[in-house]
Amino acid sequence: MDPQRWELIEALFHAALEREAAERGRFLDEACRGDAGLRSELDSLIASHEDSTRFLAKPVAEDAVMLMSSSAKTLGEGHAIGPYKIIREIGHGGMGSVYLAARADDQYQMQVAIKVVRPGMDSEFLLHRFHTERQILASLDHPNIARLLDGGRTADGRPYLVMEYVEGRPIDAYCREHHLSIPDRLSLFRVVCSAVHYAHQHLVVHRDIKHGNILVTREGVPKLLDFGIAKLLNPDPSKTAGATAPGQQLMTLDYASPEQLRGENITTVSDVYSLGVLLYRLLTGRPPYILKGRRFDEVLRSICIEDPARPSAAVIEPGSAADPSATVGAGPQVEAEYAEPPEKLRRLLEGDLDNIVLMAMRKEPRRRYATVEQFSDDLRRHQVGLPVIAREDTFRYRAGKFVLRHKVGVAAAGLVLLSLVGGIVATAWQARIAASERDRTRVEAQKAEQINAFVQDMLSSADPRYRGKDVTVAEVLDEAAQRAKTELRGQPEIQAAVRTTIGLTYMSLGLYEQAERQLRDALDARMTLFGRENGDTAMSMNNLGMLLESKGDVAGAEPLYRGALAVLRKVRGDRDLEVASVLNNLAGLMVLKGDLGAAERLHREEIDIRRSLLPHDHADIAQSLNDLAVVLGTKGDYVAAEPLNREALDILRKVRGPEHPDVSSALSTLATVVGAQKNYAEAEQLYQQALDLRRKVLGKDHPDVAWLLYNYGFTMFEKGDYVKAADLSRQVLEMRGRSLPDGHPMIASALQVLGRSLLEQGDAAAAEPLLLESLDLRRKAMPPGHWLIANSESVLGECLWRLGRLSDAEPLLVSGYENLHAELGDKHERTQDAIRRLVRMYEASQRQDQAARYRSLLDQPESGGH
Amino acid sequence: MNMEDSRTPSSREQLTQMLVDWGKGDENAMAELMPLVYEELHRLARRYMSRERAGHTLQATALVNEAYLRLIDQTRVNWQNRAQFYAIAAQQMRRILIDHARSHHYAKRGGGAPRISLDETPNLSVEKSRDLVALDDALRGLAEIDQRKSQVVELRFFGGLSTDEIAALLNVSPVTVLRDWSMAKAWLHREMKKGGEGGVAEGDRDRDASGGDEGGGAPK
Repeated sequence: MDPQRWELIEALFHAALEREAAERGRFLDEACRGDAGLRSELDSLIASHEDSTRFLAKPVAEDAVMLMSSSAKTLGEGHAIGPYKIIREIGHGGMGSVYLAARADDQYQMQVAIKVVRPGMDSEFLLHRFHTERQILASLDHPNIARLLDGGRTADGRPYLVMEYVEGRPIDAYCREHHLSIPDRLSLFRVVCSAVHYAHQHLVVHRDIKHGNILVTREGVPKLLDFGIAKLLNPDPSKTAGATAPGQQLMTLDYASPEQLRGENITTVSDVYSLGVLLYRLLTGRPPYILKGRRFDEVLRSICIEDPARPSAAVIEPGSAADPSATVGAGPQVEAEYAEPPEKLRRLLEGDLDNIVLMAMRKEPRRRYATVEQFSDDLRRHQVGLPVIAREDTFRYRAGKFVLRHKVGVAAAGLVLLSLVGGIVATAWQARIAASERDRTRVEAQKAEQINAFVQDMLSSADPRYRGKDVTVAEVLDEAAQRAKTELRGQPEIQAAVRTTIGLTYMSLGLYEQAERQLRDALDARMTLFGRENGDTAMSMNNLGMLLESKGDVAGAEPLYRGALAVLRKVRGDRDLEVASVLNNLAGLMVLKGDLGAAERLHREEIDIRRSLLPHDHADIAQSLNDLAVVLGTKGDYVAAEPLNREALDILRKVRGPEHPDVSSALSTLATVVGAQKNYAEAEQLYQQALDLRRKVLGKDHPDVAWLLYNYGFTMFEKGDYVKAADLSRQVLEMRGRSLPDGHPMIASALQVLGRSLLEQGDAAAAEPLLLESLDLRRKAMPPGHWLIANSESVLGECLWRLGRLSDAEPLLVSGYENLHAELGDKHERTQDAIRRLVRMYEASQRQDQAARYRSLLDQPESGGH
Repeated sequence: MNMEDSRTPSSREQLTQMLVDWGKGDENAMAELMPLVYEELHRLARRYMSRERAGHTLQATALVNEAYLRLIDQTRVNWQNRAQFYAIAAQQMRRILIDHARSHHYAKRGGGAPRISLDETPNLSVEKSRDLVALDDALRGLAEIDQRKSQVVELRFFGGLSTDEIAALLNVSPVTVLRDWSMAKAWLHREMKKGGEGGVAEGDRDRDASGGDEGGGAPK
């Protein structure tokens, strides 16, 4: 109602009542002056006033007090809540009470715990939440998760939840009372992880993991309580820590992640954080931060900015950093926790366990373990003595910047449960519903971009190139792909964007088939939606090209890159960063095709574009420099390549950090260049660094590991260490059929190096089938005349010659040389090798004319045959 | 379950701080404060009851006042904070009654029927429950038009405060409180008759015919 009118009504109402009943009619006639609505409003209010003398006459406050005073008795022994009979109260606190109860009509007499929300909470709202969410939670069926069985409303209108009753000790007390050793604590903790991981796979985030929520039974079985309940009771994530009683709040805050405190989206990675805090506590007997008695801003600062003491340090400083009164329950006295002395514990925790716990607890969600399973698996690796993923954190945390970067919010964020991807697609879907209900046209364009940014952001945190490999990422992607297919059906634009992201992530996992399906669908959709001459369509072409190239389908990739480039130049102009990206891809393809001149030209154009648009130490420039160095190296111009390489490595170490995957790529290239200049000692060291780094982050079967092994092997071959070269090549070939498809150029190359190593060791018979297959594969995969085919021919020729099959050998040696001559010129090392082979062959067969002719082509004439 | 740890009452200092924070506009502080105030009221109410003094009437205002004195450090708050505390108490009492009433109300209508009745509770009569639910709905409507008037009703009817107390809390004159009260009462009474069971929606005229006259007594 219009406030002015309301004021007018009120004034006239009181003025009328001040007059005698007989005068009111005339007064109102005059006051309302023909405003019939006003008149009838006043008439009805005045009539109501006359009629309401007894209305609300007796306050009901006393009734409320009576209800309060007696409700304590209402849920005593024997009382029923739904079909359950209460046995006794077992807990009581901020949100309500918890009762032990048994099903009244149940022949099994199963005991349950019933949580009754107390009056005074907004029960209408809670009930509504309960109905929508109960189904999901009830579907969790895991031996280490206390099940949610039922729920409803008590007779006095309060919502309740029925849960499996667990008799046990809180996990921290259990560890302390049993003086569990560190390995036993880790094993127990990993069982907890398995339960949380299971829930995540069912797209349920716990959000309130803490020691009080994990009970260990007499049999030593841990059980998680209250899965998803925090959300039911507290659907606004920003208030997760807030709406509980302060006593409880302090405890919850110990486990609250920075993103939780900032009111941002809570995901499975928030549970990783809380599990990290739990492990910290189980290992050290104290919480990572001392929060009690501190102001809220100090608490925020601790959790969002300060680094906790390393667990190994925490066990030897009892009482100093930790105020003895600070923890709820146990004090920090490590002696009470363990049978072992603190100094021994310190040694056991130092290193791996410090790093693992602190990695789980990192401030930035994307720098933690990507999944609970990965976290648990790192602990397993530690337990069995394998190297772990976690490393000491050398990243300098810049709080302000981070907070700024993460202020992104999605309108429907509050609705999201779920995990990495499932949650995002659900959000996209819910946001779409919300958008269609509101202002469709305005919101949608903007929303699509926002959603997409969000999806990209979340998914890229699952990209193992930046996290460390984890199989479940693939499972999560499968789920996302399925959801994108059905739930985004009416939204082809968003669907295409989501599919692109999913496809690229599959690709980075080496799952090419799944990747291709997603990327092709995205391209088809964009062609239909926007036509060919469109930036998005062009990028889809580029993406599919990358995929085909990764699969080894060079011929399929080229027209896609060229098409994308032509479209982008037309719609964006020549000086554009996406143009530079596609140039980079095309140049890489030219290298594979053997057209090094074209590759160099493309890279140089790309570097010009990037230098003109980006700061001088940008990572993309480093990438371009590195790629150009590879081309120069392949051409044999190592002297030109090396400084480019070192510049790239310096930039990358600076902007990416010393362990970033891109650093391992740069190390690898530099190693090749250094090795080609016969500086083998440095080369070997660089390769080994790169290999360690890459295996650690990508897993040992990743195709990128194969490239590195191959290059390493080739350099060892050059060095003359044929045993090592053969060994490294075999490691590449072991990946054949698993993560490397047969047609992958790597296979032919590895066969080549292995064959040549055997040949050099004098085993031509073993080398022959390998070299033959290598040549065969190259002839199938590469255009005729490619220098690699020529090189293969030359090498096989030598092998056959050694086996005494001169008539088979000669034509191969000759055609190999001629094609190398045509493709690379006589000066190239490979060509020189081919010439040397011919010289040796002709000398050995006493054909001195031919031998002399070829010898004259050598840069450094050979000193007689061998 | 996970509630056992929070039995310890929160310190007076924390509660006072929450009240002050809320006064400064921190809604989270109120969310935290609400259950604590409830807890204290509940505890005091039970204590009074256990004395079982014959003829002793439980004075709601005395109860709230005692809770206030126990929970809040008077030296750190101003009159506005005090008003807010009383408002919380009144709001809590309203919720307790409405939750209770709604469950009976639903039972009557057959929706979400509770299987048991809490026979020790001083049962609100079905009629009273229905009135309370309708009043609650109407009050929400009034709050949208005139927040202060709905507060006056909440404080007086649910919180049991006197005109003078309300005037002090809302920082208006007692005359204003009385005028608010009289206007609010007339409006609510009319809306409740108009809306019948279905609430107070002004446009919901169809209900006029079928809703019946709540004040008239026996439901059909």
